[in-house]
Amino acid sequence: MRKICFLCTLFFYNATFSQNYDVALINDSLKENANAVKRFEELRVIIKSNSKAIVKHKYVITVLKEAGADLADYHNSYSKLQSLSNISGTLYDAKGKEIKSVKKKDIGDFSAVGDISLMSDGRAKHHNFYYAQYPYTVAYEDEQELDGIFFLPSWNPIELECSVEQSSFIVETPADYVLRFKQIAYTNQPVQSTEKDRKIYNWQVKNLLPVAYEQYQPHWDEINPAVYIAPSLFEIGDYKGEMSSWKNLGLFIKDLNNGRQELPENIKADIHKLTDNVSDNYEKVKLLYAYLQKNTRYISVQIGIGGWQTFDAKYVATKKYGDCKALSNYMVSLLKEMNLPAKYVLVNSGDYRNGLWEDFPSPYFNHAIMCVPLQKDTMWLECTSQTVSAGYMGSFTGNRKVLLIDDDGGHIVRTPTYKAIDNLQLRKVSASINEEGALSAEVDTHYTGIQQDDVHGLMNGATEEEKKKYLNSTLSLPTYSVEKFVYTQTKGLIPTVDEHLSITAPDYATITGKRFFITPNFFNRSASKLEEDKKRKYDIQFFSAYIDVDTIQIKIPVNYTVEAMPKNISLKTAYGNYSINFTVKDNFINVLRKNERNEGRFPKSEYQAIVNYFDEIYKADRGRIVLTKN
Amino acid sequence: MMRCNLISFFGLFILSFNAKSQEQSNIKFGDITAKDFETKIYSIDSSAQAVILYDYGSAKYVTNTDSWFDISYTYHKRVRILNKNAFDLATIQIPLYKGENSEDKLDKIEAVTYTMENGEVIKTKLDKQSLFKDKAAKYLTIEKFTFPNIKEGSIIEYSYTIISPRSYNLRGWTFQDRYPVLESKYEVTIPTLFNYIFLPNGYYDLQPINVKEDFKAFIIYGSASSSRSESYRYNATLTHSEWVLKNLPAIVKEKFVTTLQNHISKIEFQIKSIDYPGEAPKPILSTWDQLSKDLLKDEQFGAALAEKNKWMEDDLEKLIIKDDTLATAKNIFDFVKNNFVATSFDGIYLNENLKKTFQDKKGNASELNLVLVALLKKAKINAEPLILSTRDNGLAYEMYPLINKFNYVITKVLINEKEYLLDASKKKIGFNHLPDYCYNGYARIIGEKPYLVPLFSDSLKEKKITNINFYNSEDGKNIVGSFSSTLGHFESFDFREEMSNSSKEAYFKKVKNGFSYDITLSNQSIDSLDKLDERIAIKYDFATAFTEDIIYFNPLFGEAYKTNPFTATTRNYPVEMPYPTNEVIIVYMDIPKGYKVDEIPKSIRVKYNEEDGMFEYIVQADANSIQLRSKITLNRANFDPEEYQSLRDFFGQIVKKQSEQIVFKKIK
Repeated sequence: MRKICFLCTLFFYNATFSQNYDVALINDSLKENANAVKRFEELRVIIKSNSKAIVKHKYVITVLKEAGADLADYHNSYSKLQSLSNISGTLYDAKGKEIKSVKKKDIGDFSAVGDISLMSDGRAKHHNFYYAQYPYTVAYEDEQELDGIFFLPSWNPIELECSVEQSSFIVETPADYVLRFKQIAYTNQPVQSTEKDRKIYNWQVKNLLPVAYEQYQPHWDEINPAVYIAPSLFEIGDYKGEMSSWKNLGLFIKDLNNGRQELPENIKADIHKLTDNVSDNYEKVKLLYAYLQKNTRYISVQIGIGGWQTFDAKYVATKKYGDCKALSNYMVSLLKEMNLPAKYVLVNSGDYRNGLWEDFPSPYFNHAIMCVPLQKDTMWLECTSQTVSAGYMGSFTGNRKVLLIDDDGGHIVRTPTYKAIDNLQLRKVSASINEEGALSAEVDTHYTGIQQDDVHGLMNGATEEEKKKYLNSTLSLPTYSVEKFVYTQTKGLIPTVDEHLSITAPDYATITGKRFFITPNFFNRSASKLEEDKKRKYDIQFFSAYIDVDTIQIKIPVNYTVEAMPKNISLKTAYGNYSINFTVKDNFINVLRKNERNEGRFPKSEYQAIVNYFDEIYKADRGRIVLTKN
Repeated sequence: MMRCNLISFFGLFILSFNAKSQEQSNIKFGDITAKDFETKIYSIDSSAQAVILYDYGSAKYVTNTDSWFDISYTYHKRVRILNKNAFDLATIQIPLYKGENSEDKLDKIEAVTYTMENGEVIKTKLDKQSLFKDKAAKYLTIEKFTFPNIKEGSIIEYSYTIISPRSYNLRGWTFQDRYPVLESKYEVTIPTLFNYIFLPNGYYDLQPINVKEDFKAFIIYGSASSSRSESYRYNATLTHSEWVLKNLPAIVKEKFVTTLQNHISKIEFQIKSIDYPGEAPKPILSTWDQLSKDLLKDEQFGAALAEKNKWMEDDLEKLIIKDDTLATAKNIFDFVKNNFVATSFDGIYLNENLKKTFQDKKGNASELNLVLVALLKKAKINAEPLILSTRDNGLAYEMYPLINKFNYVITKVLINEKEYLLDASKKKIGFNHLPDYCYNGYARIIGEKPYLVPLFSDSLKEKKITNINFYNSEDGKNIVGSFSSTLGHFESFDFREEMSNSSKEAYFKKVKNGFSYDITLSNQSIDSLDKLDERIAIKYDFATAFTEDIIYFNPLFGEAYKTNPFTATTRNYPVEMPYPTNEVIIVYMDIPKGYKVDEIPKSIRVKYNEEDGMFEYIVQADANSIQLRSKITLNRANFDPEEYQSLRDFFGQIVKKQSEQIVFKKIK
């Protein structure tokens, strides 16, 4: 695949914008399985100085059918530190004949504050020709000016189900500018040239076939060509920094937040009173974290440099709220007041996301947390949650590399990894079925680690009414009601939640004449099969490991004889182990189900084997016992 | 389904709850003591995460510098936050209208958080630096702030005033909330110059209490006869009305509810006329006849329909089929749908003139339908626009010509005495079909005779028929068969919408994955995907094999109801389904070669509410074959909350019966 994809031209390609966009000129291979074709793209970053850059973006997309119409939508954002101007665009018909162009009044201008933040200076512009005669082509162009450099744009030429005729990334810098870059799935070196006192870098791809989403594919940003760039020396606002090493990037963040950790006297008094008599540092951290959780909440305000610089500890102390940076900084302040070695940490958050590329220092981060290195281990604290356990990161920030800010600069460290044994779901079902097929069941489930994340959210985030509604709509039982539910949580480095449910389902067993049909594994069935795919393109990646054990005992009416039993199976593979065992004895059905999933990456050649593995589990989980009346 | 509006209109309170109170609590801003924190659990809702203690609004007419009226609103709200999950209530957003020449002015914001600390009430005031202004849209600015020092148990209180220049748009009041409300009060003081209709909604008694009159002098300009151009002294009679409701439970969304707006307790106002003293009232709210005439003259609605519209001629010429009006109408309808894109669904008015819409080939849903009407009229076909309120927009009043309640325009054509209803804004809708959200009571013709057109979900016919046949293969080793399912029109529409972002291959991959046993599919087809007037038919052949000694077999495939659609065990509001139900599955099956029938489900027939619905499951078998028919009918789409339990039980029986198995035994 890759060989076809990366036919990079080695000569300097002088791209021009006004070409012939007749759809007939597109190579048939690029149209196959594509909703759209990127005909041309040029992303040009002109770095003027350590604090100023211009970003010019031009692209032309041919939309082949309705499913690709989203790609004809123009939108881009701007803020105080990043202007947006010179938006122009043209619509062409299938023959490439110009139909119309963007008029200024047709460009929508929106607030991009969104629901998460109380306020930010983010705004967005939007345009769409809303054309309906497929295929058609749109060409857009815009310009942004960066007032202060910290982040630089990256080049990601691939869109889902869209092939690429050609796309190039050009970076111009002053001759003495030290540009750093990282290439992903791009093998060649950039073409470099010099013009007067400017250095020019050029990356380019041509004739890339479309990519489609595949189940359990690795992270998008590991498998598709992209180039990331970052400055060495940079300036933003009144701040100067250097980021060719993590140490220096850390020093900049430290500098930005310098002097913002002073606590008001009343808070100091509060926390001394709370922890002075406690000798164990671990206990101290837990008490102070509980104090934070009880007294603050998450409110995000992001304006200008405030996207990176924290509000000071006093702001949080008086308002009792802050964003991730402000709350983490406040927590660091609280711990430092108690002479605990707390550190501010930047992280690239998101479920199962990669943290960062260690060999390429750059501000990847979208979230702040903090940690306290203690004698035995390090306590990691998520400061924006009022309910999560001290020391627990979960799938949102766990298992990845992060940037820890220390007095001597930045250091790359890892957040805790949650292994299969940490992520348990142990369930015991004790049920009975009467002659009419009605089920009543007591279900006790012990969730730990990442497997408790959802249920933690439910128990802490929903009212009793909402829990009832949710529980009554989520089980795969024909008609049922959850009569009773109780949740208890135990905090810890690996938090746990215990759930007790009492369920009745009047028509659980199917009765046909003298026969009784029971699917005894009614609570934990694998949800889906994998789609067959002869041309799997990517490797398979399972992002988290876990273990489920279900022990089910169902009392059945007397005077029934087993007519059919499902097969017991036991599978041992590299992706996981699964076994299920059914028995009927003394009017009791017993089922023992174990499902252990491994994490890891598996070559695409094993895809069919994984499909089969999922299939077998799917069938076994639905195994049915047939009883006949004596 | 006009029930709740009409009921409250005529005061026939079948479901009326009395929350009205003559008792006036005298709540002053800042008047909070330790006693206010004593209640930990409120009897109105023991699991409430927050309780609205007091919600107050008032509206008063005041004169402005132009010697006309502004409306001055004052708001005051007090909330107890009991649980962190309700912290979002501490963030306040105040939407303000910002027109080109006039705007809402926000003033006197006060906001205080009260917390109990060591037995004392601590007050923390909002710091005015923390007020933010977000320019959300062209005419909309949102002022935002969040309360400081919020803890579980805090009381927050805020008040502000807005001076609004929109003197004909007296703001309404919503008494209920997603949290329980202990007291909600609204008062309006209106000079009799402004004659308003009060429009109550919901299940509570909203007759105003404390209606009293007062007098005041204003200096104003203008009059009905418009001869007076100087300002003069206007001695006004003021009408003061008040509504106070207490102990209102939280309003919570349920499945199969069109919109909570139909059920929530609220009052709205519609200006009827301007009554200058000693002059005939100057009507604002007109009659349907007048409104229809006005709309047809309105540049933002029908004005272009009366014009020659020569710019349409070139395109229209190609669409006309001589001597066949119906075919011409279909051509025109297809032309608009295929060439125009609906960019928004934002009400009944035009944003651009019709010519511009025609040239740009895009517009809002109303523009597209008016282009359709214009084209049809130009082709000398009897066509008129119809306005309606979609299901999610709530019910419109059929009697009052309240144009603000309408949000959608469709097209009516009359050909050879037969009426056809069209919607040009949805690409996947066929001729004489409408999206299900249009069926929301009466629509109104905008034409010479603005009559009502009933569009009731209860009267819809939606029918799905599925045929599944199983045969023994010629060599007797396999079971082969065919599946074919013809969807109803609405389901066909949904299916087409879904397929516009998918493919036939992906769809049948999913179908195959739905089987829990090995099966191969062939000859897969989806009929009428592009023939929008027809119903979708999904077809495929299949082959599988029976090998076990005993076979337990459910022949309904994926067509059976596996779970009850009515999951909740209790219900507060009526069940409002989009259309009645009529689903038939017919199965023919050869008895598999080498097997005999050991057991077969019994036939049953269950009636729902006598004539309102029926489920029948009829099985017949002879030596060689089995025939099975499952039929579900519900003749209504709407059910009262009292009918919920029986409806849930009805579907419970369906789920149970449809899961039954046929048992085959190998002949030894």
